[in-house]
Amino acid sequence: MSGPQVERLQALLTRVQTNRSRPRAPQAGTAEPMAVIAASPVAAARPAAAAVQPAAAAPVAAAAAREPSRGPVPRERASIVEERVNIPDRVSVAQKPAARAPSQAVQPPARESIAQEPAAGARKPMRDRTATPLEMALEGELSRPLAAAPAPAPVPRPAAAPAPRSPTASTERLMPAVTPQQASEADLERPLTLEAEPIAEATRPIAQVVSKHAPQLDATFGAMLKRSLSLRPH
Amino acid sequence: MTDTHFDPGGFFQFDLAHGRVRTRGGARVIVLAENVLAPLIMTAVQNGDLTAIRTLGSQLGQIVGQSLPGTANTLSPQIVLTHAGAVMSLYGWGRLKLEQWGGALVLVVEGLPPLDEDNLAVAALLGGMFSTLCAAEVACVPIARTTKYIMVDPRIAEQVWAWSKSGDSLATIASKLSSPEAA
Repeated sequence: MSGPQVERLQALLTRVQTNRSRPRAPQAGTAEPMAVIAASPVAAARPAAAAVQPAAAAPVAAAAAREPSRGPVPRERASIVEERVNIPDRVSVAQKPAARAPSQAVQPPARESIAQEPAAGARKPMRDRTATPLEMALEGELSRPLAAAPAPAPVPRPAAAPAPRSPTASTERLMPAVTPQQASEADLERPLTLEAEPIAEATRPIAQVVSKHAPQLDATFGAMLKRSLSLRPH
Repeated sequence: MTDTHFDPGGFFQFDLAHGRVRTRGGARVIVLAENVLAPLIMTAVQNGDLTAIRTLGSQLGQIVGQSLPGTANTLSPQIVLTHAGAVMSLYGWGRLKLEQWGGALVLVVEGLPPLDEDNLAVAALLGGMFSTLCAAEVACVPIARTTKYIMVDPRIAEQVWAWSKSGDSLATIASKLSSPEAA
């Protein structure tokens, strides 16, 4: 490796480290957007869909955040992403992706962690002091559906069946006591009558002709003659 | 309301001055004694040519059709039978009835003069009349030793006639026939 290349790599490493020390100051062209998002505690605490909102890296991050279920970015795609954010020495980075892995934070695995974490992170959203007003506002919007989600419709509970009342409590109080003889006389005068409930209206004809050879009633002479002429020996 | 009755009034016009008899439609007819007609029909049957009788039946069918309030195929069987029977009676060919045996239509002609032994002449007359009346080829096959004629397709008339000649009753013949719907 030549001297100028070593110097350029060192300069790049220095800039990357500087960027890493400033998690909320992403600059286009200095770091991969996904790395910035990964470094942001706000982004880590939000669902992937919320990570598309930061202004500087919005287009690329949005494209990446729409695919939360994908695994690590393939090598070719990683180079494309880096080209979009104008990494200074993109030729060397694109040509040697493996060489930058130990020293750079722009690694596909970071994206994978984002893609997998939102579900867990979204359960306990935390307000970070470094969050911008926009993110705070978005955080409120994101948390609103969960908080303001309509409560499930109350399941109508069947009315509690009234406890069988003791016949001794109210009935005895309402009905005067009668002797067995009086009761039998009352039964003869007005016998107990049980009436069947009215039959529900039938949904189908009560009787149906199931015979295949039911007599056919032809309305016209032509129909009768046509049927007669259609007869064949069998 | 349709007129279900057949008016026979003035059906025949006797022109005594000219010695002609015409029907309501204008056709000239000749009154024959049955003992004269019978030998003529016997000769036609022996020759196997009943075309003249079928033609006569076709003319009767036209007269019936003109008297009907509509097309015979669209009218009720009662109306068609009433008018057809009236014309048959006017011409002296007996009294017409209609029966239905299963899917088969059966014509009954009572009071016929003795013509041929197998009643083939009347069968030809009925076939010609209903073929014209209903605009369909109809064969009326006589049931042996009866006054009944079963109305079938001409293509199976020979088979039905063979059954009848072999002694099969009308019920047996009707049971040997089945319509495609019942198959």
